[in-house]
Amino acid sequence: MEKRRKRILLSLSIPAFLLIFIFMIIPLGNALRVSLFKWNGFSQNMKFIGLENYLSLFTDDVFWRSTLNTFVYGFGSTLLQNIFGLSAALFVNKQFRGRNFVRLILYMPIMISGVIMGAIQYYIFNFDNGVLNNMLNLFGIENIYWMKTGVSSVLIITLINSWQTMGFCMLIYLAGLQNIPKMYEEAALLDGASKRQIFFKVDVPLLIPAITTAVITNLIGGLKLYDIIVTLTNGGPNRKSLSLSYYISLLYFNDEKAGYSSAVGIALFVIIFLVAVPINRYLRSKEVEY
Amino acid sequence: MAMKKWMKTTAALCLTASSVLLTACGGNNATQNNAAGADGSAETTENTADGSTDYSGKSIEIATYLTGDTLAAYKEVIAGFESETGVNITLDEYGDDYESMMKTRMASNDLPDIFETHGWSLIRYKEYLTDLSGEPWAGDLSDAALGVIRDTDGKIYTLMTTGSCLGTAVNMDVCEAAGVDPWAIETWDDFNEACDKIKEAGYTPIANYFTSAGALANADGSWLSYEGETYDVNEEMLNGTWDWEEFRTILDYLQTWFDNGYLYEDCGTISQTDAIERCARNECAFVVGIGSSYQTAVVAQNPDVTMAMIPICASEEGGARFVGIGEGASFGIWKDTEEMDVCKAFLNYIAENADGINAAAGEISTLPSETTKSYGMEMLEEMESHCPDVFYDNLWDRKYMPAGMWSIFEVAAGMFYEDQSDESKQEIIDYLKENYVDLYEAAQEE
Amino acid sequence: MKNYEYEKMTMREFHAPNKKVRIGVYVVAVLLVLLYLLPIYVMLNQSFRYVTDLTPRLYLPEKWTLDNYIQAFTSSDLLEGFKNSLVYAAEVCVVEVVLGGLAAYGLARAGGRAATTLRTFNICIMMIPSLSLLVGTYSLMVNFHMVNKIWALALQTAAIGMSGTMFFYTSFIVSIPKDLDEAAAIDGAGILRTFFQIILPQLKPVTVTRLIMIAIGAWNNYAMPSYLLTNTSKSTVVLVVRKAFYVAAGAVQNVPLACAMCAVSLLPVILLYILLQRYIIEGQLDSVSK
Repeated sequence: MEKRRKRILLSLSIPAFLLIFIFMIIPLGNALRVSLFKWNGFSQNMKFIGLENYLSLFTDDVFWRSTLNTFVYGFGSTLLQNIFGLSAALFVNKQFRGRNFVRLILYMPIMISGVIMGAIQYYIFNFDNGVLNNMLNLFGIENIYWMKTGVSSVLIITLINSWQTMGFCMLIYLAGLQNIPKMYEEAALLDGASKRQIFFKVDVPLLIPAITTAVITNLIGGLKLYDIIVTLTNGGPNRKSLSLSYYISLLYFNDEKAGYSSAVGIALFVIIFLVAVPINRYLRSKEVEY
Repeated sequence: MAMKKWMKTTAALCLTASSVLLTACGGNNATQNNAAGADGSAETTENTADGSTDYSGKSIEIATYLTGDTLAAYKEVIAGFESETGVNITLDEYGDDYESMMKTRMASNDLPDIFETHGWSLIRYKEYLTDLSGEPWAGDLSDAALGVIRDTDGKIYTLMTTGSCLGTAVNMDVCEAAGVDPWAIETWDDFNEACDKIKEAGYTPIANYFTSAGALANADGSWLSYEGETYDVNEEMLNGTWDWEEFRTILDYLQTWFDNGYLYEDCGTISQTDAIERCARNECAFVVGIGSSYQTAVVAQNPDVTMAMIPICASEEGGARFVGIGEGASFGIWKDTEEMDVCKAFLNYIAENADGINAAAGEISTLPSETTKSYGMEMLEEMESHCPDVFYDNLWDRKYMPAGMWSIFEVAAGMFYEDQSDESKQEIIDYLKENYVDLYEAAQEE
Repeated sequence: MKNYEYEKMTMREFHAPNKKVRIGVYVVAVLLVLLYLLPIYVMLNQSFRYVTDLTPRLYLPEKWTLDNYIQAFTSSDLLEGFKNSLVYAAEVCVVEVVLGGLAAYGLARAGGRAATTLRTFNICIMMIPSLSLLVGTYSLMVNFHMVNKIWALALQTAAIGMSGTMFFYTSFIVSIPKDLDEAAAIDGAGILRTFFQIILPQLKPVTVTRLIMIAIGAWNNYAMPSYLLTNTSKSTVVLVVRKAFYVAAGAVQNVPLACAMCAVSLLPVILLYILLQRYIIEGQLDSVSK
């Protein structure tokens, strides 16, 4: 009886995993096959070249640069989002009139698509006649070329992405903060602890479950960043602000290197897999029950 | 294969293209052409009208890369055809993504019934297109158009209603303010001299943007392709034996733009929109190697600006100044379409109603049915009157480079923007060469 | 949250700021709101201009016009886009929540090695960006004639998001006492009935949150739709707006019109967000604090 029940319970997951199989495992197999060929993506000619595509990865500067960027987008955004989110949560947790409105506005950009946000931000960060530089001009500061180097572009993309999506973090922390039983803080207050001590010794440990959720969600979002780059920098200057996701689609649809694009895709797959496992294990183990 | 065929016809086509353009733009002949065309088109209108009633209930799919006003004009044509014949048309507006979309659709061998060939009717799309040389409008196409779209065996695969015309865009107001006469510019040395003057007057001389392949590829013919220039290596480029080291000459020259501060500081991250806007604000003087649609766009943003087109400079004293002619709005039919008759009727309809599209695109007309002179045509005629010895050729990359090189040049332009050192130049040349060899081989196999 | 009142009364000492700090709070609040509304301002400001208006983007238009809005409202593409986006988002929501919820229930209750393995596998693939499988996915879709089919794209999107939904549900189902299931089983209810009648009602608040998150994700999705919905009549709103920002050969890019389309496309989203803020923000707060 118990066994039969267990089998039925397990079988409930079949449709979901079937879908995952069709749209993730089959494409993975497909990509593995294509990655062994030299193929422009549309011609009938496919030339088998073995592992050559994978070997090219090692000498491809753009690939390594994009990998680095992907990590910056992933981990950098996560860090910033958590800092911004926690600060914002602490702020809107204060008692003041209109705090619900502030919370509403801070969360709003999440509703806006990254492509559209990027297109608008382009006009803010533009060198000539950008809104930000228009403002600086008011203070007598000359135009600043924000997107001059790959590094600055990557940082600005990270910043905008964190700015846009930090509302989610804010909510998670807000929930965490409001869930901390007030007696803990009161007890600490009675023991003569300072506000800072209370924050780090009482609040932070109890916020760890919230941090876990926030970090995982943000990492997933950051590591697959694509939309905002398309319209904000288009990967420029000189393909220095690409994420791996964007590089893959450029290789496929622009450079006509479908085989190599698949190889980069597989590399991304492996990289993410390697990142996902330990992080998840680490964070799960640090959860505190209260 | 396509490349080899091209090679043979190259010389002849260039000559016919240029001579016809010269006469067509001269004035007298143009009116005659118009008159003849009017007769011809009257006939075909009747044909379409007769056959049109049969098509109600049928539907075709059309893909386009046109956007903005040109698209609006195209939509009008489509709506006209729909109401006249009852055909139901689905229009796919791919814009910037047109090429990638078409590639993917070629991959699945599922093409739209009618699509734009944007310069690749022979090299990339030929195997997917229907031979249209028997169509009523085929005889009306100007030789300039035929020079670009006719295959060696006389077949044509696309209806080309406009030719894009590629030269150097000039903001005449800025030139005047700086005391420069753009019509007097013949060689790159003259050009740089003019740029110096413009810079001194406080303007940005060149608004080329290195996010586009055009910055590196569009003017190359000036050094490589013609008699009297630094190199005359057309044959080698076409048969795959070209020594890419010669490309260094071009990079060396382009470096002077950076060294002398002719360019915008952010020329590596801006798009055409920004260049257009700055030109409309009278901030910059030239864009080298750009289609006449650029000037059209500038004037749309600021009608008070006077724009002109000059040919691309010669590399040596006495060399040929040239203007590139390419496929503008060109429409082909998928060879496996289920509605061949409808598609052909539609192309007929476009051929007779292309005026609006041409006017919006600001390109030069290739069909005699045009009644209003487009802005692009006016500019071309103005240029003709100042520079009667201009040399016409197909667009450089489309003629001498294998399909797929354009995006390679785009990457290379980004590389060059970032670093103009000798090592970087070597890297760029190696990169271009490697991909050229690959793509050339792939083109031979097809 | 329910403990607001409690907090107000007992923690006033701790949280209530003095007057100086209070002014500071309002200054920060105003600055934050301005920072978050800047892109909206930039967009609206440009949408009221004529294309010939070249005043710096920070400043108000030289001459105001509603032409762009008239054009945007009358554009059939935008209307069609709304319809397609709605259908797409609804399909993704249904598939993901029903299949993901069922699977999560099965995995959470079944226990044993098989279920644990599947859950670990699930967590690992949760972070895989869909673009890493671009080439494979694309050729799959092409081979099975699933390009330009909204349902096919919806299935693909749901498959990619499925592991996240499962993960999300699992943690909540674990916290529902098993006694409930057992009581239902004793009453003779089958597993499916138990799920739909006992478990699902318990999950209602988190389901609403998840639905909203999935819907926002699908509504704003760009990468895969741009490759898989190539037919204009199948474009989603985001694709239509992105297209408005294009520059292609032979065209004048009309930034004011693009901004107006952008504004029109965002209007319903923002309105819904404000109307449903209780569900979106409070719901999210509730769900993460469970």
